[in-house]
Amino acid sequence: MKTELSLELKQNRERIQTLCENCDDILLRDMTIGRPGIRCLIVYIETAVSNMMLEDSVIGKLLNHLWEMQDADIKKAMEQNGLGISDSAEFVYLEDAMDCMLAGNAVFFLDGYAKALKISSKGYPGIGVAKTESEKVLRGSKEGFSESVKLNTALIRKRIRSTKLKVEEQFLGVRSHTVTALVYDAELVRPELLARIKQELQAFTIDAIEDSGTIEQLTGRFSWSPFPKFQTTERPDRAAAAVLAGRIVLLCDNSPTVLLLPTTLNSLLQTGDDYYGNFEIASLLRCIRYAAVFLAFSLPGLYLAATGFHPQLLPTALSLSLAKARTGVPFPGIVEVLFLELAFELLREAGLRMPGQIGSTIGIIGGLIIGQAAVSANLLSPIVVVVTALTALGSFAVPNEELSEAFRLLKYLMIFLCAAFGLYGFVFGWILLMTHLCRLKSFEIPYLMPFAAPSMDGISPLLDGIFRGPLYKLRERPVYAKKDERKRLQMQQEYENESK
Amino acid sequence: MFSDNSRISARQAVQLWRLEWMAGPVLLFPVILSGMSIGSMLICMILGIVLWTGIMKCVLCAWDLKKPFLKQLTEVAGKPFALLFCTVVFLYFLVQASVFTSLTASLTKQYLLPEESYPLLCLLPIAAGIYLAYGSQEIRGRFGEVTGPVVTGLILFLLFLSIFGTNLNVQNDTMVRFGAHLLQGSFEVFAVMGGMFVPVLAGTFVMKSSGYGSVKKAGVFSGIAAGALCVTAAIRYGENGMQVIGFPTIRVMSSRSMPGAFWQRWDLVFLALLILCLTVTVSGALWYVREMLAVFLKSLCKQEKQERYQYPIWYGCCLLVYFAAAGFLNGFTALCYYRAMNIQILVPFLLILYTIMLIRKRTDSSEIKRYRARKMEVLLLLLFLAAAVFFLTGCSARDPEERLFPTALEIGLEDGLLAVTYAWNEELGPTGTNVTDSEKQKTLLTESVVHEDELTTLRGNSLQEIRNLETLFTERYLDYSHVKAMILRESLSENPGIEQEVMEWFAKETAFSSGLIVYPAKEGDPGLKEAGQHAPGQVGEYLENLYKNSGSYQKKAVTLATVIALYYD
Repeated sequence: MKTELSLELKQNRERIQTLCENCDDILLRDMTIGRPGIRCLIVYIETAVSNMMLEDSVIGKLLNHLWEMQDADIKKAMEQNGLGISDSAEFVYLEDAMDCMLAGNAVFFLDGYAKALKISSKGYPGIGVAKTESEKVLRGSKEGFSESVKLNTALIRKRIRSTKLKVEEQFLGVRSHTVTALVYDAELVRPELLARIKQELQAFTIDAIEDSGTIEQLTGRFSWSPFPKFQTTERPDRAAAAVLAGRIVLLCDNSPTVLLLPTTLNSLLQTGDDYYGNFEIASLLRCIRYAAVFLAFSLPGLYLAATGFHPQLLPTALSLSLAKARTGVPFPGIVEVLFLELAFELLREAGLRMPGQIGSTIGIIGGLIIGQAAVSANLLSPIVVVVTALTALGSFAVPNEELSEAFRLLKYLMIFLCAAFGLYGFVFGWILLMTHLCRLKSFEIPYLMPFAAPSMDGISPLLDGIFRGPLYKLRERPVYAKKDERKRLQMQQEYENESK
Repeated sequence: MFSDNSRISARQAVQLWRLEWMAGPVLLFPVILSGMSIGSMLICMILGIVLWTGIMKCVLCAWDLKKPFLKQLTEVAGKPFALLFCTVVFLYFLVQASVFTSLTASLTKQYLLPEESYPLLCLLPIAAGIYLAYGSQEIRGRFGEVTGPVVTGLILFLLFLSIFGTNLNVQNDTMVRFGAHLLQGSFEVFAVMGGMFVPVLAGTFVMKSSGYGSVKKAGVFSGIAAGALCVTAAIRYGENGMQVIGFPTIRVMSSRSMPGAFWQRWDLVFLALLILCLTVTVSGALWYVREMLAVFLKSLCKQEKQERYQYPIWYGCCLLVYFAAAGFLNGFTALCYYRAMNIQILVPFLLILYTIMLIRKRTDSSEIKRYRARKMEVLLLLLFLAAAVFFLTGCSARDPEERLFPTALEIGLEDGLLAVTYAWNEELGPTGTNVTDSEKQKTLLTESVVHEDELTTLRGNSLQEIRNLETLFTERYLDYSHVKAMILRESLSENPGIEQEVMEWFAKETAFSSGLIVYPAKEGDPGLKEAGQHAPGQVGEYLENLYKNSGSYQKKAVTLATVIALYYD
């Protein structure tokens, strides 16, 4: 039940004071404007709204104007001009006004006027637009998302200057009141998909949304799968490209990571600059990424299968040198591999938590010195170090961190299967992985598209899957967009032919 | 848009069925066609495949692919017959799942994990089959569509490698011998290709009624690929040699003459692909078992109970399949059951049904039923059991330093005794340590075991005795998979008993590559000792390079496959 604002400023002030008791960061500034004087009140959060902003805003200028007016004219002027101001909104209920204030704006109350006015602000302090850290590209925009929804939506809007780009905001979290925004192109998005994500966002009640990851885990249907159902990005250009492909972008305040939905394995293995450069190079890089997935998932297992069960697979010289290298190592192959994988996980974790320079130093020390020392001390054979290093490189080459983590986790299943059953286990590891991926769907879109059901997709697996075809051949949007809105490129000559 | 209505596209169906139907003919064709001349073999396969496509066309003309299975069957033949038919289908796929599980485990035991427990090996295909068969047909369709081109592409690649790597040293009989055996062979080829069962059922689940086209494409592809492999094996091992070697279509891939850049043994890669195909076949059979269960339950109880009982009963069936597979004990028994079941029960029964159908053809346009996805508790339980078994039984992995690799062998008779000489690489001595100069002397461990430089010679009255002696000079596992060349003394033929024993060893030991180079040698010809003087510690490589790089040696030497073929022919 919401409380309507009173005509009396005093009553409104008391209510606000009760609500904001012991909130020293929330300021209530009383003022008198006009002649002989009418009382008014501005409520705002100290650091979120600066005095400069108050003076510079449209409302601020209106206030300066009201300052000189007669009392009788002030209410009239407010009623006439209040809603006409571009950065303003009117509130009838106290709770709405307080929510607006807590979102980082100032709220203006006037005695004898039963409404409150929003004075827009840039909101809470944040880091602003910074270079993206996780998805670096050689070519293309260097901008990254910030931690403010407003700023992030502006970054997308900057790239799609169309009113068909819709931004629907809502508060999530009973206590945190976190602002989230759904960004989509109204012409391209599938209505059923939009309805579903809206429904899923309403389907839970939670104290607080600290990061977009919380939303990710509470929507998209719970499953035990380690594979991501959403694609994450910190790059506005990728988010804009996703919107133009008919996908929905979900932004969350306080998080520079935005969610793109739905997603497929193919999308997760693409990078921001895939479409900016030469298609041959892009194709080569994509092939390398798919090979990286193979390495990240199955190389340690394959090593164990080949050395422990089927040395006939390897050239004789290699088999013999492997045997020689392992002479004196006290552990069986699987322990050796697990030991090094675990050591590598420790190094990764330690490197992540340490400040920048120290983190990379730890990586070098761990990789070179500890690895070398372990080999010299006969704790490990050199080939295992090579295998683990290649596996790690494979997992780093996967452009999406969540996808890389999924393969990193499943790698252990493969290690156990191969250690127990050799090549037999390897085959079953792949059967299980493929079956699992075939079962997966992200918001009703099969995860393996366009490799599975390519006829339903706008793109061909050969032209925009493992390879990337020339841009003039990529004329259709992928499966994410509405079926009758798939066309995204038309060459001039075709256009002229069609016109004739 | 992506509803789970258990209908897959024609393209998905073709890829899926290629995977499902590949393994059966590849393994069964050599069994049913061995002993025939290559010409007869070809005629049987062509006739069988033509017969299969012809009957398939007749059957699918009579069958309305859009109609629910039971409804159509009831309309055509009445409810009792429909239920009887479902029972036969149900039992057939139950047995098929067991047969293919057993085959998977047998192949693995024979070629990959000889020391692993057989029941444990049966667990994996069942578990993977359940996971793949769980849920709607679309999951299998997608699996087929994504993995099918890769797997079948690789199989075709290996097939071409094996065809071009086959030498024609053996004089094969290419004449067609006419007689009743041709008809019998053709009928068996027809029966092996799944009778008429799977396609008809599966056709019901293909979109846009393109069942026949998909069935034909997939079936003909599998039949031709399996046939080509079978003929290649026949050319390599000879008609009778094929009968001695277990699964010759796999062994034919083990030739080292194939240009393998890194992998030395393509048979293992081929086997891995075949295991994948077999698992898809198991999953297919389990899926049809569940479909039939749904049909039974639909006719017996209300929808609520159907949903409650379908999956628990299905899991029970899977358990039954596992116990049956573990009880078959070997793949050949399983193949015999499968062959007998197809020929003696399935085909006659189906012919009766389709005769009735052709007479009473009716159509209806109602849609097939939808299936709901279920939770995974029972599967998790099965995986837990599998994990428990794994931890209880341990595994048979053996690290490379625990293996001893001979690179060349010399086999012959010396003073009436069988003498086998092993050549080791210079880096490893037979005691497992690096060889020092002091050890490089002629050492007599016993009268029967002699070390000389990098050579070790064992002498015994039989091959069995030699194998027993191996434990006297090494505690490590003797791994023959890196033997590159062999010198076979003509003296061996002086004792037919020992010769037969050695030949059987060659035929059955899967570690030997079929492309292994064999130098026939007379009394007084140089042996491993002389080769060792040219290339100390690299005798195997030396003999292999001699063959590769010298035309005269290529004329003298043959491959192991040829030796087997010549002996058994």
